[in-house]
Amino acid sequence: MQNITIGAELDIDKVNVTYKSRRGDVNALSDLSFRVRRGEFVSVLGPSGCGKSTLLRLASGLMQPTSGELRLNGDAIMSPRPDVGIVFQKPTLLPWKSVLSNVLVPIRALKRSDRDYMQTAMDLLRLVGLQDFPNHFPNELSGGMQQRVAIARGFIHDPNLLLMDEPFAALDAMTRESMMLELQKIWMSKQKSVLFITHSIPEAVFLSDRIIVMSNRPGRVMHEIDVNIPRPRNIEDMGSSAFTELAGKLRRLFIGL
Amino acid sequence: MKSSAETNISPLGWAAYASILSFGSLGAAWCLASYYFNVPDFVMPKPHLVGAALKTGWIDGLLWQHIAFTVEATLKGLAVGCGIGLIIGIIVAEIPALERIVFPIVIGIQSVPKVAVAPLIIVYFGFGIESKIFTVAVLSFFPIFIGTLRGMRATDADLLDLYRSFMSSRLHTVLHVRLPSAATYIFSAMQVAIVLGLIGCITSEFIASTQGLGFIIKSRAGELDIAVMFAAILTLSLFGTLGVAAVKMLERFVLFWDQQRK
Amino acid sequence: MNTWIERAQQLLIAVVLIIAWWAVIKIFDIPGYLLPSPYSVGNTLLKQAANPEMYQTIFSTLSSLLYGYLIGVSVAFVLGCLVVESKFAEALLLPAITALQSVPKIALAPFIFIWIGFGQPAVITLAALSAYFPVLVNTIAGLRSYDRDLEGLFQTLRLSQLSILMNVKIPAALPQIFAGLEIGLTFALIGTVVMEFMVGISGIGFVIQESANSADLPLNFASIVILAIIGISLSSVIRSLRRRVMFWETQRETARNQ
Repeated sequence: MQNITIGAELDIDKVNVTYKSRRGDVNALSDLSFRVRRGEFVSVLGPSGCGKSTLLRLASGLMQPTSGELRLNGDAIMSPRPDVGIVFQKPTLLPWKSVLSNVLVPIRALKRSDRDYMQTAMDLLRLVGLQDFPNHFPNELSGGMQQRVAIARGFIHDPNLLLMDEPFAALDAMTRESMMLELQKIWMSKQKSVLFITHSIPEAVFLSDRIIVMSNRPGRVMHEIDVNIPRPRNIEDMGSSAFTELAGKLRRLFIGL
Repeated sequence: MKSSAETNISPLGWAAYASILSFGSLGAAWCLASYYFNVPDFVMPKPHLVGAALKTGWIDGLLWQHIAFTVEATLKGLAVGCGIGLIIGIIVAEIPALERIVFPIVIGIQSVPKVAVAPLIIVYFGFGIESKIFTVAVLSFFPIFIGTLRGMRATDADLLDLYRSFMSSRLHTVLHVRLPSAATYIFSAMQVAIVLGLIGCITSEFIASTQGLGFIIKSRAGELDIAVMFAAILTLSLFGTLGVAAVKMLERFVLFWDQQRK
Repeated sequence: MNTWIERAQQLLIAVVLIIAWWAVIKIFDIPGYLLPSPYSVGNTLLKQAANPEMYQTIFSTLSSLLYGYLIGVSVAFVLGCLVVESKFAEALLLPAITALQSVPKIALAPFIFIWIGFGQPAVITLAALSAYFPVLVNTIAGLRSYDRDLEGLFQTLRLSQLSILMNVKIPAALPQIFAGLEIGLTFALIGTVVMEFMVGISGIGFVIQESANSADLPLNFASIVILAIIGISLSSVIRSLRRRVMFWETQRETARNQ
């Protein structure tokens, strides 16, 4: 890994989330504990419904746990904060604003000056390969391109922790592969901490330093696996023995779940 | 008879064909009835009489003050009704507790004809233009209020979460996310508001007025001056259509990004 | 669970509003001829509830409304099917109908009483004319929204056009048709009330107009309340009908919630 780690450390400490539904209490997360170290890329792998999205809402401060605590660089996460970025499953762009404006949405919401971030915005667009599209509108772009805008938006305000909720789930297989490469490229140039939710094993192995396997509801950590494949990783690496071995191991763990 | 799904004529060609067929038949039937079957004038005025009435009304200016009256009353009433509907809609949408209580109530009274208060408004405001403006305002308030509420509710939850995660101020979120999302609903509501507003204005003029297109229609009825009545009605339809068309054009301009609308 | 808490809240709001109404009158000392007190309106309502003439009135309005509505709906539905099934009918009828739609039906009220005279027939006519267009537009839109694959299936089975209409198109159109029915009812009620204002012989509209003329504000308010009750009840009748006819919608809701 590179030298300077500017990413934040996310500490998830015995977090429980219970909420009420028509059928009584639902335990979404149970005694969940793990850590994302500075500059680390951690994937959370788990079946549908295991509370992964809840985890993201907790980490972003949009929600509070029923018990336990989440800490960013030692401070408890009590409310949304500007040093955290989110990318959702759907691009969730403003259809009435241009690509460039969309990338700048966090800046405007945080009441910072557009001008200061204009260069950063263009750099990010270049990083995601959309430097020729700043004035296009979301409806003129493909799904993959829209998601790339969303990723650029995730980084614009220089968050130390980036939360990503299955961001490639809605894309077709080929776009997904190119997006994985894009994301790796951006992450390697920025060295932020990333918490990446996915249910795709190849994606998790390709992108992460460490994989957290979560169980079904109630969600808790079943396994933590290090990924020791050297970076930068290519598509060809996905055929390597190290890769397939790890993927196979994860698959067996899943069947075990 | 082919099913409507199959046709290979161009849309423009079809529109031309249909319009000619339809309006042609209508016109032919009208002329036939008036000139050949000599249907009495008080049932169906002869086309040339209506033409003459339109001329005196529009060109010689007999209808001008009445057109001005109705148009002014409707526009002012719409401005008030839509404006207040929009503002209160935004406020209520921002207070979930309030919205939960108010929304079902307003939906419930959708089926109550608000025109019922027209006579009352005349009691309070008199014969003049004020009563018409107020009636239009009352009738146009509700569709806009409901449309605004619905539209604000329809904002993408993820978008709202995104803005929350940047601790965006309420005003910022309303202006930049919720209102634009609500725009479609609000524009549809405006078209309804125009229709209902016109109904309100005409009704109020029917009940008690000294001017206005509605007044003309009613007062000329007494003298069986059907041709002028027809002329007034056609004028009314013209303005109604123009109003709705204007809103539609405005909508397409403002909502330029939404390619789903044709 | 939730709904009756919400109902209770709404009731509370209603009560609060009534108290506020009473308070405003007391504080600003508003005279009865300007704004009647809740008491006087309530009193009038009770008196009317015991008044056989009021039931006559309500019956008159209801019958005009229902006749007009049913006529308007039937004509609109038949025309809708015709326009959808026949390109010729569509070409002949649709442009004219759409153009005529821009005429606010209410404006035709004086015409109607020239042609038809005073009394119920005039009210029924305006109600029918008012209900007709929303139902027509929605029927046409609904009938065009069916599943083309299902139609294809029927065609390969050599089933008749009528059969396709009845079994594919109409069921698909039901949500839209019901929407049209609800809107049509609202407009029919408007037409009924306005005609009763003008034609003035019987009906709630007539009472509203008369009471305003004679400055009998409690009666005016009370009749508006009665009208409101009529409107809301009829609307909910249509909604229950919809739930009955389209029973599969509620099933989908329950499945989604599981």
